[in-house]
Amino acid sequence: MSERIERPASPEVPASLALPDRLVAFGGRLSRWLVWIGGTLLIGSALMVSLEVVLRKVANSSLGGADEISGYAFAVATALAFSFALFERAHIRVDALYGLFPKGFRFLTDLLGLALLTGFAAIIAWMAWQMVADTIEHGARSITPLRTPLIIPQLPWLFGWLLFVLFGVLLLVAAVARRLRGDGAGANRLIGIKSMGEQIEDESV
Amino acid sequence: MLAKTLLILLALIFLSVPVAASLGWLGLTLQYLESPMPLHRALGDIVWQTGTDFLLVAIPMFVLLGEILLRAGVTERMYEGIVKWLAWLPGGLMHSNVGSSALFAATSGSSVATAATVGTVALPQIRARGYNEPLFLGTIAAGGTLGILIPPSINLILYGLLTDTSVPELYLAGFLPGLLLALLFMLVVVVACLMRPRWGGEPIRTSWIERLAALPALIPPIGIFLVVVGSIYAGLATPTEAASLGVVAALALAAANRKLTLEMLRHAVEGTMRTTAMIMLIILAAVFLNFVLSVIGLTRALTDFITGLGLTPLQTMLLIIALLVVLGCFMETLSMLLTTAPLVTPIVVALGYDPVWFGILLMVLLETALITPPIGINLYVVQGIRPAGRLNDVMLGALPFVLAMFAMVALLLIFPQTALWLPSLVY
Repeated sequence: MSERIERPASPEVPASLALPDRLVAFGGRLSRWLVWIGGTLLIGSALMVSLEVVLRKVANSSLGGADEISGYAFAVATALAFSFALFERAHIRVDALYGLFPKGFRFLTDLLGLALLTGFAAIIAWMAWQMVADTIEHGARSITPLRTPLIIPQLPWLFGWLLFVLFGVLLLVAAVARRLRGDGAGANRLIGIKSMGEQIEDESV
Repeated sequence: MLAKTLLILLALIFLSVPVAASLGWLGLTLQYLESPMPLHRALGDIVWQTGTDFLLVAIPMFVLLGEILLRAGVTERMYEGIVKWLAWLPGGLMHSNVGSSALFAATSGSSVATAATVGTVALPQIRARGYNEPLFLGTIAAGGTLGILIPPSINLILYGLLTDTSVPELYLAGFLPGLLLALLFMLVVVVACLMRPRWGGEPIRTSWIERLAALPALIPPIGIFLVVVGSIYAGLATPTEAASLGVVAALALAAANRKLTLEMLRHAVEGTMRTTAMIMLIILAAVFLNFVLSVIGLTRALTDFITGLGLTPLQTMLLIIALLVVLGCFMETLSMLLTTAPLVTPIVVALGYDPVWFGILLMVLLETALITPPIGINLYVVQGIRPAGRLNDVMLGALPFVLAMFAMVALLLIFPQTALWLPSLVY
């Protein structure tokens, strides 16, 4: 897959309107970095869990807690990847009627969809925030032999959720800004439903 | 309450609100309307507990396994190997399409990736050997759906999670029906090509020497399948551990083929995390919605409503199947699984059916959803990799395979042992 980072706006666009685009470009790069980190955690987990299985069978011993740690790695990697999926327009939307809507209305459903997605993520982030605050206050640890201080996995996990909300808001602003300066196609590239051609490009490279 | 729920859900879904947000807001709205308790306070806990669930770690692992294999240079050779073994049948390469889809399905769980991969290799042969284009396209679209049913299937893991059913048992149960369905697909091709010999394209002749020489190309996918599924049934590993072993095996395979580069890993990881984030967000929302639905008593109300209709279990079953087929025309499979499994399975179990059996039946219905218009992802995937042509060709070509799937549903209804026999030997 090519680096499909948005081109910066043309020079004649006033700086106030181009700023969201620059932030989107930055967000796209940042989310990609976070996905690489998450992927590394995941591959690391695969190696650790495999080692655990082999040790258990061959040496009848155990690393201990490989399942717990890979669970944390999974939660963190997923949370860090939500923004990437957002920039890649990968969060599934049913398009049974979408194609039949007039263009203006389609843009409204794009905005509504993104607003509801971001809103839902914001509620989760808020609840997650309260949970992490609790963890800090009580110095909570997992009730397993590892007794993991839960703050270690929960902090990056919360960070992922917050970033998801932040970038959702940013994309809303950037799409409206593009629309306002008459760049409907550009707005669609940010928050519209991906065409099948674009999806296949992603899946089969 | 039932009507209200359905109305809100349909409105959100058909306004193209992202599926995860639709499920989440449906849960929040129902809580606001029906529950005296602030159920959303549980969201933090639900998201953390579900998000760290070791069973679900299998999802990114299986996706990663598929992504690595796609890039490890095994698929093309596997396809050519299968051609040598199956192309003598009436219908030639169309059997290789089904066969390699089945084999690919046995190593990873993604239908889109399967259809896209097999399609890219096979499509140029339509012109080159003069096949009937719609039927040929149909084999690719339908073959791609096998990944849902043949273990290791991610959808079966999700079904297991949502209905508290054992995943290894589901995997065993999916094995025979998956194989049977692949054979049914091939039967469709054979019958079609016996009736219209011109559809079958230029015959391909291969010798036993060529067949034996092609065997090494089949070892990698079969090896991965044995590592993943074998380790589960040998009692060595849980599904997640098996998936991790599969990832390590795929990495080793890619290294042996000199395809293991940082660049390749980057692409594999990006694809994996994009899919995982998308799936997980829907799962988290679905788990929250389930929680709300059970607290406000909707699951019970629905079961009471259906059982109160006074239908026999079989009639109810047929009604459910009909509803799911219709729903499948408009919904994407994952969303359909996550919204229907928790609601319908309690009804089915209350009627006296086995949840493992129903899981398999549901998978076959999800497969039809992948190739029934207007919303059938695999139709669009196949259309998308064609250089030119109308979408109608693909829809038309997929139709006989939808019938084969209905035949499979009938088989499961008449002979539940098709699914339950293998698990009964072990459990």
